[in-house]
Amino acid sequence: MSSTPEPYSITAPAVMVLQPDAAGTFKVVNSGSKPIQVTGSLGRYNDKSLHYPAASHATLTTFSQPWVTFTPHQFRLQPGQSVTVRISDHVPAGTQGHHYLNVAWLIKPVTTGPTTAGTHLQGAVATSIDIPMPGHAVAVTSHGQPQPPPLPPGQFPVLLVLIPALLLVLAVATAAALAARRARNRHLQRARTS
Amino acid sequence: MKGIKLLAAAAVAAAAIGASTAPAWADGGPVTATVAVPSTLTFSFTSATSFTVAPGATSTGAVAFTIVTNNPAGYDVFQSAPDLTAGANSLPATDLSFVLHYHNSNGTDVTPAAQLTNTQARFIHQVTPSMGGGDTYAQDWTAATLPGNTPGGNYSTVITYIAAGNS
Repeated sequence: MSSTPEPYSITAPAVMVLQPDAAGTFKVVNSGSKPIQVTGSLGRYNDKSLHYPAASHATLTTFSQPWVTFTPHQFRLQPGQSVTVRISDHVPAGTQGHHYLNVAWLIKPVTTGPTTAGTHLQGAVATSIDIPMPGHAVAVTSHGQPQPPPLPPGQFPVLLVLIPALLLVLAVATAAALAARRARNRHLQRARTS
Repeated sequence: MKGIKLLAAAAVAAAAIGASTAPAWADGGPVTATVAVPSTLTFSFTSATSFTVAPGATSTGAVAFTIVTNNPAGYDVFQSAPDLTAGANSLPATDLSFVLHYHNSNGTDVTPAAQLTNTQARFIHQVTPSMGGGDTYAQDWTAATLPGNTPGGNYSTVITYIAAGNS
């Protein structure tokens, strides 16, 4: 690497193993010669995080409810300065296999004055987080709308009995109301003709 | 007899001292040293962080960057940009396209001259660590020739580059 640092440069861990329901720290470094504004965000930037995301729901194009949190999200770094990031995860019970997410660190020059014309650039490094668990993960291969989660065991048989019972009660109540109305109408008709 | 007792006592004392202070290597056992080298990834722009290109023209070497990593599984680089805008007017991001150049350790450009559009998500996929001094990349950016009735203005966008470590 050149002994003279480039103006805009950022260094972060390439990969990091984070145990389930654990926390850790790592450093993000301004490896350039100018100050930078850094913004962190979660994303999926390699094959493993695309197919085995550490998130409660995901397709190949979207994901939600990530299992990973980190702080701080935004900070400014002077040349050579670093910040310690704290990262933690919470994995849903029953999850199996390795799951992945990326923490992307986007840098922008700290500029004063009006923005110059033209196409602008911004760069980032994305740390790949690996959450290891025993078993085999199920790959995300679907596109499209998210599906509701399956019912927990024990509730499906209750609904099988409850829904028909409710329909039966409703039918009986409706029939009784109709019968009462017919009887009232007959009574009124007799009263008019007599 | 007294001399033998003294010698025996000295031998016992010497053995006791030796047993309590002898270093591990004296027993023939190995000494383990561990040096932890963290896996890091560095992204650096080696060009200016903005460029201008006229319609139908090419800006050679408009963007250049270097990636340094010791990650054994290498890295990927993603690129994204929204449509170009000038006030209320816009041009599709695909009106910008580029040729990627990659320089090996000899400084030779080894990249095929393939024109890639600006919607290319992942455009670099390396499965090994970078060279010692970093992998250097450069892009020649070309702006499409525009129809004659395109509203005038300085159309701009922000191109984001993300280098991700492979796991």
